[in-house]
Amino acid sequence: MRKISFLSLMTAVSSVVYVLDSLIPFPVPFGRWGFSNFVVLWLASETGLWDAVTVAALKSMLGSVLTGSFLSVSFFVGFPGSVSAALVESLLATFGFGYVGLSVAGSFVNNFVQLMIVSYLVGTHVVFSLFPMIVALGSVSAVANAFLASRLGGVILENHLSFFFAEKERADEDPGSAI
Amino acid sequence: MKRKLFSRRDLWILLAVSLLLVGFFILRYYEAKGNVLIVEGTNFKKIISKPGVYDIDKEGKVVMKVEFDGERVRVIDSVCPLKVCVKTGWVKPGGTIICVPNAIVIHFEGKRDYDTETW
Repeated sequence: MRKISFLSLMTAVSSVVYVLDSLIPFPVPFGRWGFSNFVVLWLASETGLWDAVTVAALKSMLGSVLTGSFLSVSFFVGFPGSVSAALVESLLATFGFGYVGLSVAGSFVNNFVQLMIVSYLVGTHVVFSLFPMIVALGSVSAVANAFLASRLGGVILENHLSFFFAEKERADEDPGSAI
Repeated sequence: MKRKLFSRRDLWILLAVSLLLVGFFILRYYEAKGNVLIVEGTNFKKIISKPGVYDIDKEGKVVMKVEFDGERVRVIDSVCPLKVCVKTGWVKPGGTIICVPNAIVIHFEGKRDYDTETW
């Protein structure tokens, strides 16, 4: 149960960032900064593959519902992108990379998968001419994400959200007291 | 294990990504940059070489209005919902306008000395 509420909290945080993120202008068409991925990055690093994939899938669904693009083209492009990024990040996390490396690799894979889907939808490989631009900008936000992810663990521990880091009794006997 | 913000192994990832980026930029630089406009869809290809305003029609309906002034191109109007292609604005050779809902790509192509593509 605690795991479910923990993952829902993470999904909520990530979706809110996703919505805020769509308000920030991005120089390349179809692009977004993708700051919501820091939650996924942190989960991939700390709690494992399935948590990261679950939250990646849920946040792009919930985020696209909130921004009104659910089941539209941008959803079908973004959803596999963030799920594959979560997969790659959690696989690389087992090899002891730092947050920056994981984040840059994740954003690279994310952009690559997205452009693969766009080029499939449009039917030409010409769309890959946008690739260097998107990856360069994506790496900038990836470094920002790495910083946010490295702070996220501290924030959660500091506030004693008592999910599975803090003591068991505290969360169970009096729900809400810890928060 | 506490994960560091930056570990030494990250340099390899950064190196790989930046090498790929440099490679792509070089590739783009050497790509043929011409002033022949190509409007490409899933099952048609239209080549535009004279300036003017063109209607792009797909299955009998006009889906897009494209303006070409000899050097640059822009989409004036489109039936797609988000109008990303219109917001892209003027695009010079080397750039691309992509419309996903209409499945149309607009890009430039130069005169090539060879006429085969190896990929």
